Amino acid sequence: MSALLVVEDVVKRFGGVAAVDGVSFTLDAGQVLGLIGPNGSGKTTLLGVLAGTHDPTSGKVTLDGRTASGRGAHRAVSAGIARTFQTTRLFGTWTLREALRLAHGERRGRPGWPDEQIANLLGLGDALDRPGASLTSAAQRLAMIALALATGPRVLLLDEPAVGMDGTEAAALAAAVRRAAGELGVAVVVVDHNMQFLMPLADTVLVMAAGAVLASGTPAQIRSDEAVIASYLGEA
Amino acid sequence: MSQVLVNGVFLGCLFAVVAVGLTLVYGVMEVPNFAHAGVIVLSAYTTWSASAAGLPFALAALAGIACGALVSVLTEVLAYRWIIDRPAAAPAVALGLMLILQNVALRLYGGEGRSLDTPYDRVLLRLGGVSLSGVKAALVVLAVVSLLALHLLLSRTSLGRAMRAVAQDREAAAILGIPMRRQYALAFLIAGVLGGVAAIAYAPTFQVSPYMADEVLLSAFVVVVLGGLGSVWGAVAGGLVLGVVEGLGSAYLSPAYQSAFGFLLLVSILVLRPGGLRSTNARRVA
Ligand SMILES: Nc1ncnc2c1ncn2[C@@H]1O[C@H](COP(=O)(O)OP(=O)(O)OP(=O)(O)O)[C@@H](O)[C@H]1O
Ligand SMILES: [Mg+2]
Repeated sequence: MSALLVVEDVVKRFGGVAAVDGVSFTLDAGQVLGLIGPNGSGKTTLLGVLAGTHDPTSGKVTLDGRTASGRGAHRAVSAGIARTFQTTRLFGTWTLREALRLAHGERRGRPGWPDEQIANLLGLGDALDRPGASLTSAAQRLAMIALALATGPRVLLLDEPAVGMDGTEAAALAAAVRRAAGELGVAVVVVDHNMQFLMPLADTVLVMAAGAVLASGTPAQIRSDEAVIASYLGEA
Repeated sequence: MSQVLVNGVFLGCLFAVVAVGLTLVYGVMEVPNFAHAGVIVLSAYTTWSASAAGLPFALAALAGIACGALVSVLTEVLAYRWIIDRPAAAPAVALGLMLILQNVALRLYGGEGRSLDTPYDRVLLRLGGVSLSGVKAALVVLAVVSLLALHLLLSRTSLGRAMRAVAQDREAAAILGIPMRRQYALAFLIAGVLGGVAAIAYAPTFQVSPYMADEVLLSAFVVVVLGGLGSVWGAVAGGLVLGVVEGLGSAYLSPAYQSAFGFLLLVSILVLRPGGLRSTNARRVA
């Protein structure tokens, strides 16, 4: 069986600077990939290429054998690649329920959960009918994930979802991501600096440094990798 | 008194139609679209020249609206789209576009004012002690119809809901897979149509000239701020309030300061309610 998501030698330059410099990996349905690396190492830019926000300078991304990169963010969502952002600022006066309703058009027959179930899974059951702007920033972050899940993704890209969460909140989020991967077969790429959150969640970990892949392997392998410890984990 | 109110409502409808176009564009793209004045000017000239060339007024008006829509979309596709990541550049680009469009009008039609004749020029409606010219009545009708149509579009169609989502939060809209460029172009298309409607509706009472929209644009920006940036119904309410205030001010104090009353109102509202009349801190199109 070939992988769901195939990333082949992706390069993304901004002017002269290669923010992503030749990254390749594959991801199966239901698998969770942790993406780590120092600030500015190109993690968000790589997610942007996967999500169609950035056109790759070279290389390509295929989903189920079809080219998914370089076709614009809205086509990526239609194809089943959903993302969340590092920043939070959610639907001001709209409620989460109203926003979720808009996502359904994008589902296109792919499996997905009803809105209530998505909200409950993420601990947002009480937040469904409150205006987005009135939610705490942790809840807004979760709500972004809810929106992304509501589009019925096959690949879910999460950019630092656990920022500002305490240990319990982060563990609940990890459990929710696990269920999406396990029950819906969503392949997940999750970027985070919080190792207590990320390491138990990830099946495999990819470490980026200066746009390139420094190392990849199981969480246990990465934890003991000397190059990774020297360049990143040591300081964290 | 009631005559003054009626005149105020007429002005208010004009402000509302122009301001709704501005606030829609501001809501989705955060651009202060000064070029809207140029769109109005070119719409008015197109209608004038089509009607001078012998086209029936209704067709000439449609040509003017189509021109407004086209020019408005062009400003987005050729200019604003390219500075979406540099919001600080938007006011300068917008002013530049306004000057360009006014100069296009100047080149094509010259600087002298033209008067736009309509089939309803000489109609005068009387209701009790109040009289309303055909031109003003037509403007009120056009304003109400086009704003109702916009309301239905925004609330009942998926394009409209997507538009509101973009105005609420661009990133969330991106997560939902809404094609942003299509929505930007659509906002400018709607603004252009409203600009064209405004042009045809008020050109007969003023005159068609390259600078015909300058004052209206300023008042409409006052309305946009009054109504809360990005709020369509705020702009409608703000337009009516401003129209009546300017109408009352010029009738009972001095017509020379008509626009000044608007700015006085703006300053007092900003002091009392920094977020505008319908104050919440969020942007929205609804
Ligand atoms: N739109 C852009 N234009 C120009 N340069 C950019 C752009 N986006 C990112 N960069 C540059 O690309 C490099 C990688 O940035 P990126 O945001 O992908 O890093 P990151 O790994 O996500 O960092 P962090 O952990 O701080 O979020 C940085 O040097 C950044 O300045
Ligand atoms: Mg980042």
